[in-house]
Amino acid sequence: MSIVLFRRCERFLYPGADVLATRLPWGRHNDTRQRALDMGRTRLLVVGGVFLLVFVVIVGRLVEITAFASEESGREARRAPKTMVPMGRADITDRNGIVLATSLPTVNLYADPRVVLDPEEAARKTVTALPDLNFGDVLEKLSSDKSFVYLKRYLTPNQQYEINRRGIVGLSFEQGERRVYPHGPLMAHVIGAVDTDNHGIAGLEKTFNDRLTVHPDRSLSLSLDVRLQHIVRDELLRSVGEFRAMGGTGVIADVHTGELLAMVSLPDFDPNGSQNASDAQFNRATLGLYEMGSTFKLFTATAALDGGSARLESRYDATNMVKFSHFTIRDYHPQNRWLSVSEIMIHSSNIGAARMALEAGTKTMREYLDRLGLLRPLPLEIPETGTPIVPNPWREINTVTVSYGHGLAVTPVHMATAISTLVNGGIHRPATLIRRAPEMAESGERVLKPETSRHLRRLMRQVVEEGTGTKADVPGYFVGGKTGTAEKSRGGGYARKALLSSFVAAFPMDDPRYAVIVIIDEPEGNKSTFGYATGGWTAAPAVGRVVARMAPVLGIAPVHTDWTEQPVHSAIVRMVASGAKE
Amino acid sequence: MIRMMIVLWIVLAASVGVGLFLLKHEVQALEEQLAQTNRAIRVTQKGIHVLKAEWSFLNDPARLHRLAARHLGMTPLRPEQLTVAAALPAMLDGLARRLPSATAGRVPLPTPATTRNEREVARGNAGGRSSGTLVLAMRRAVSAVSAVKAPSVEAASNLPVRVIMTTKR
Repeated sequence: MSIVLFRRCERFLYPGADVLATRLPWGRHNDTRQRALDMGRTRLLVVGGVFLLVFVVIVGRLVEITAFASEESGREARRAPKTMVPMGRADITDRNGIVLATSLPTVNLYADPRVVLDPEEAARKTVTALPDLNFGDVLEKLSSDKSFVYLKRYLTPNQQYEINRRGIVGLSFEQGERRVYPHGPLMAHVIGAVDTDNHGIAGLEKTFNDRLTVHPDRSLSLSLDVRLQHIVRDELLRSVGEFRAMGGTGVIADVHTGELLAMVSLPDFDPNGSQNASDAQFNRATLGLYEMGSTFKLFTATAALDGGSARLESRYDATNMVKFSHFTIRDYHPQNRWLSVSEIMIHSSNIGAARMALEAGTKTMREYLDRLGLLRPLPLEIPETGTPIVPNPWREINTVTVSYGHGLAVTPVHMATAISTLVNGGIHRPATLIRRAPEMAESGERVLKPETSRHLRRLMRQVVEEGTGTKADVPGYFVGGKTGTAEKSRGGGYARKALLSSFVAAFPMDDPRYAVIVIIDEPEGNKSTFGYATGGWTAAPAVGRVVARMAPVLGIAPVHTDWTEQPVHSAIVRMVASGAKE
Repeated sequence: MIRMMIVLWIVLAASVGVGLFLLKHEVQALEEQLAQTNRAIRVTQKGIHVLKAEWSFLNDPARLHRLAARHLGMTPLRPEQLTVAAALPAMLDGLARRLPSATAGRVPLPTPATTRNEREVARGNAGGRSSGTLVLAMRRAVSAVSAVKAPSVEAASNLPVRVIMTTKR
């Protein structure tokens, strides 16, 4: 169009037209002039072409940006963050998503002493702003020749303001994070701790240090349930206080998945406070190796029944105490007669258990203890795990003592796993602290016949119905279990007064779902127990109270019928389990 | 003519220039706004993060236990307070027989967790009418639960129901 315009106007000349327009006679010079003009036009054309090309490119780009570049502008708009700002370390939650450990933003105060003009003045100002700092320390730090020194970590906004207000040259703030455990001591042993640089140094914080820092936006979901944890801790605190014990342990396990729903070790500590190594930091549940005492008779019965050397009706001579090399085995509740397998459990007869184990044989006993995971290190996700103390060499006398729980030390979580295996139909699944969706549960390994598991359930129920464990019964829930009272070994011998009283249980016994272990370390008998400090008097009532409190929380209704082996709880239990996460 | 064209072009160029200038400003303002909103989102998210921690802290079961016991007179749920829906009608019949005017007509539904009301029933302080009210209300609740929550009658009868009756400390 512009070309048309240009042609029409006369004063505006076509390039070279002015030269041509001058009327000159045709001569020799005409040819050269013509050639020069042609050359000029050609060059002009080339330059014009290049410009045109450039403009076409620009136009093309413009069109592309305005009309087709929605992708790019969209990306700009999508820069709005959709997900939570991740901190440097992922949260840890319980199985229901309740935060157990989280990182909160905070500010650290540091100084560059080389920039500080007057260390004394700066130190004085700093101390007036932060009265909890020591003047001497601050002065020393500010007078050093380093280029970076922390003065105080985790400042509150108020403290930050106070420092800012004084405008001290050389002091700066650093954005930091602080690991916070909202539930304090409740899960202290499981979760562990981090150091000042937020590196895990204990518990799950250590094991999952990489996982927590690589995916800070994905929280780690544990198998533990805050409510159950509280119930166990509450009841255990009560028992430890009541019997003036040194400490205690409580574990709840899901017998079908191996998940630990609660794991308490007392005494405990507040992970938010200053950390100094003490007895309180010792995790009795996973690191404490104990000779469990009579609770091991269940495993003796398992070996005998599953191995085929005994049947429920088999009888053993418990008339007199047994001398075996330099050991004398006697009964705590002597019956002085022949006892059936049931009666050995009910009356917790050492003699009977020893005879049962001898009949089964050392090899069988070892094999079954190994199958139940009692001779192997604890396969748990935290670094603080114990390896069983196994008699080496294993002589026949060891078989005898192990049959009633002496001479072999395992951790309470070992017990929880083994009891789960005993009652769940005979399938061994390693314990875990990480939540597993029901369909993700480990298939486990069959180590016992289902028949044996059924017998064991009956035996455990009988102990609670008519044996040493009556105090653990909760009407409607068919608790089954076994008491244990071990004398703690002290310098080669056994201390008469220092007991380890325990109760291992599972419920509901018609369709076991949860295993509950309570161990009380060195309880003292009192008036209410007539001076007894045995498992049946100290640990069993605690288990009963835990079951009575946890079952309603989990929505398991009591069933008021006589106990049979027919599962009456199953329908309810299954509904609760498949329903919304409780 | 040619002057007209020049003026036209100048005006066109100027208006495009001004338009572009305004557009650019607008875009800048929008970008500013976007950045500001993003910053605000981050601040809010941080706030939520901190509040979540606080929420968890305040929900510490030990603390709730203490507070509920002190201010509401509550105690942990006992197994006797739990039953299945199938067992409820019989329970309610028994309860109705023990109480006088159990057949009141218009009855307000008690809220499930009003412990005061229930506590009074337990203490035997409650007047006949309000107890009858409670029984009727529970009946309604049972049928409602069965109708809504359970896929079948059998399933309904196995639904765990928390009958919160009275805890006298």
